Amino acid sequence: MAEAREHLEALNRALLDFEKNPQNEDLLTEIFRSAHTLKGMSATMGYEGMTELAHEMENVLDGLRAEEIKPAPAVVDVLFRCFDTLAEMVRNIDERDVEGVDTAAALGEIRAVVEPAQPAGAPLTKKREKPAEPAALPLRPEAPGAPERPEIPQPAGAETHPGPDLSALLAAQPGARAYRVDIKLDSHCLLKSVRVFMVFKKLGQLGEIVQSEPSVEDLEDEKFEDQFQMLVISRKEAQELKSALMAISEIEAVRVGEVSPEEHEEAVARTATSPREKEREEGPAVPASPMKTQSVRVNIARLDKLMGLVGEMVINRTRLQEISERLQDKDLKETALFFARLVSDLQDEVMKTRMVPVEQIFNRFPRMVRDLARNKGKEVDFAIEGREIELDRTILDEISDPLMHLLRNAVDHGAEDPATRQMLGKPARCQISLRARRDRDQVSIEVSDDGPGIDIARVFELALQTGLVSPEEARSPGLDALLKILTHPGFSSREEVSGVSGRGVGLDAVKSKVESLGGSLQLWTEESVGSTFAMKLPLTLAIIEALLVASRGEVYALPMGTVRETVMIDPFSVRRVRGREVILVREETIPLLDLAAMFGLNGNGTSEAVPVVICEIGRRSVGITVEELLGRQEIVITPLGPFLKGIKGVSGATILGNGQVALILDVPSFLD
Amino acid sequence: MEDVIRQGDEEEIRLVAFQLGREEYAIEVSQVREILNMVDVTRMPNAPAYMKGVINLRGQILAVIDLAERLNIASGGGDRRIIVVELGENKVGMIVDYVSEVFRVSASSVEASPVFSQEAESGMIKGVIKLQNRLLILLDVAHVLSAVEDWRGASGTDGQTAASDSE
Amino acid sequence: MAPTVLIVDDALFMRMMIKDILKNAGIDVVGEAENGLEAVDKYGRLSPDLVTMDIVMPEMDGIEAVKQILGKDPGARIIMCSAMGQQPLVVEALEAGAKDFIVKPFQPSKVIETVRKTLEE
Repeated sequence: MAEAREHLEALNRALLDFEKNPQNEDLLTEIFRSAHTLKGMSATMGYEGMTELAHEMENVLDGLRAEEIKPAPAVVDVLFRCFDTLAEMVRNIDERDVEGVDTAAALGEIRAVVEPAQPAGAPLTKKREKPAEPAALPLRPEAPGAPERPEIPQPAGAETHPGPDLSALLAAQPGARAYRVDIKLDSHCLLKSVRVFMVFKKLGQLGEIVQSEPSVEDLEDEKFEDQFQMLVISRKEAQELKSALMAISEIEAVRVGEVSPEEHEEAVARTATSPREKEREEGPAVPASPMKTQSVRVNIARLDKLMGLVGEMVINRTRLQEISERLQDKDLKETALFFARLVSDLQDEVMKTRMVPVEQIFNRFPRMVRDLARNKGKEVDFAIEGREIELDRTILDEISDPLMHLLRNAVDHGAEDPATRQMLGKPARCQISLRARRDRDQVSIEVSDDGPGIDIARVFELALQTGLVSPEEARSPGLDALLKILTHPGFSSREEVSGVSGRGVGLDAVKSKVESLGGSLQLWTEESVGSTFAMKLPLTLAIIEALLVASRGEVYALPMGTVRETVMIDPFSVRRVRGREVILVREETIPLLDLAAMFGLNGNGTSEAVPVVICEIGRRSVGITVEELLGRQEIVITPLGPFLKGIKGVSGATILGNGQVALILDVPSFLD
Repeated sequence: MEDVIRQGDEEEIRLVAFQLGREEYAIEVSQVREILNMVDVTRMPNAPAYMKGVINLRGQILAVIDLAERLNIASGGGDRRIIVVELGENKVGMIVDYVSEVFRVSASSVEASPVFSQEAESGMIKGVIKLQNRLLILLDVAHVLSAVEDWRGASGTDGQTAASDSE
Repeated sequence: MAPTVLIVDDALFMRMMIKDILKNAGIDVVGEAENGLEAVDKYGRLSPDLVTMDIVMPEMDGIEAVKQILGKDPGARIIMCSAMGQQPLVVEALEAGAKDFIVKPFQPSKVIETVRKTLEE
């Protein structure tokens, strides 16, 4: 199935490129080849659903090659949908050996693309005809949790549908009059679409909305400034409608004027001719050839074991050097030094085996950004730089969600709609980029857009009103302070709101995550030029193998590299030598420390055998009495922060699986 | 429009009021990041008594201090909350007895603090606010934090673990 | 008599911010609840003129609480407290019968305007 996945990957890339360059025949050929190969493979293996779907894709691709079907965005959408279905099937086959997907929906859609193409006429007239009543209102409420499926949008220009037949509608409702209702929202209104919903709901109670401008879809997607217009049929007086609407919050102005059917028809005639130029830049044809790297698969458990062994070598290196110092043998000294260097290099190399190219998570973003942009009616060019930059795999796993959030933000707030951009003299297509680069011993991952920038004055105004900044701070609005406000839990939307904007992690969660990895979040923004969020991350995480022990209800971690062995010690076998407690382990006298006593936790004398962890650094050993041995575990060292840096006996902390914090013991300090 | 921030000397500040022992204190809202319910605190050895330990705040380690102990006053119990304050890069949790409300006063109503006996408190108190029958002590978070930072220095700084140490 | 309000939000800080805004506008906050369950219970006991209701909360979310409160008292006036990005949830709450909504971070003027308008209805 690995081969199938490769073909799918190739298909995905080619589709994305094709969407940008619909005239590029090479890409079309590549897509066709991938689909064809997939068809062949699935037929051989007896997967009928896949075969059938791939076959239908071929038909559409044939049509596209023969120019019988136009490469409209909707067609590309359908191809993507089919691709998704195929990918899901491959996944299922991989996991449980069945296709496990109902292909009916995808098949229906793709056949619908081909069929209207056979008779002469416009291809893809699969216009989403709204029900007879143009206003199927209130706005379609999207049930939360329902999968976000981009619907096939109407072809450009289709929204200039002829206005409703007013005279007929009025005739059907004796005593009713038609009104043109203009609404202006408060310019500071947030969640405009919900405000619109309230307007629609209210008008729905007083009459019937027969048309809206902008369209219902655009209103829902908040693709309007702050004004909109509706055509309403109602038996109420204009004044009554007006005061009902004014009672809704954040409505700045309402104008209600009666219209006669004649006036309406005129207006319709005027607006009927506004063809919209579909602008598609023909970028350079970049055939995407899948990159081949020479690699072998290694089980992660093996790598971890390797890490552990290197850890032990590091300890022994120190020991060897100490011995060579003592013996004063020139050859031994030289060898020990050379050995030490080798071990250092080996440690670096082994750390690097945990490094994976950012590509592994970046690859799924083009598709995500594309779908988001399509959903929001935005035109976005998405560029990725630095796919080859490497990061520790744990860090990479952790930043996937924060990155998705930043990209979603960029599409939502960092891209004006095409019309606005043209008005501002910007290219119609917004440039969003995702860039990874090495910056000395850090990796910087940046999400940039060339959108409107963050309205700094406005953010500070809001923050001042809500008390998030003091008047003093508000007087010198800077980028650092801006980021602080934006990442305040009271300002950014909250983390739990998943399912709404996908995984609704707020900016505060992004910042927390980056900082918990030992990195930092930075922001640059300029009005009408754009914004960049940068995550500065360490190359590798400090991950160590540790022995977890418990004492007086607290869990502590001992770096495995310092642990020689664990023994059970009978309290009666503890001796005293010059005032210090010692134990004998195989003829060796080892000083004993009680963790609880050392940390000032109340000791409780026991007469039973207790576990002792023997730690060894160089030639020196120490036994540490604990209450319980919990086991070995890989832990991520998290810094203690400015207030606790340099506390004796503790070198850091780690967060355990249950969310509790465990302190990492600074073993060398116990040997002093 | 009662909520417009007035210019000049009538500038308003918003404060979070909380109880600590028998006194009522306040800090500026702009320095508060959030207020948490009390959680288990991992004890920190070899630290001053008011340094209660650390908690996991969404993947970050947050130091938590007992503000009553820091100010040398007796805690009055209460439902205990952790006020997370942030100043620049520094963030710390302060355990207080009871958080009562957010309110606002004009900046000019903060009076210079009368000299308090305990020298430890002197720098940490910005002033006092008199409201009808209440007296609130306005804390200077910056001073509280720097006072927290001051204690260390005695112990060694080499805290690296052997396993990740390549000399 | 000053109108009475019940504030529902799982974050203490948020409850305190709303309370401050309302108090300054002469509105009496008679109770606070940390989750939907507590909100339904307190609504029954306090019968406030208005409720401000957070949406995402533990135990019971704000939308379910709206449904339950309106089930008992169809005349209840509830304003949703939402954050950016929660449009579909706010719409759901409004369809369930909530009267209006405010958006975090709360702007005092907007909160007061919304509360007043809802109380006048």
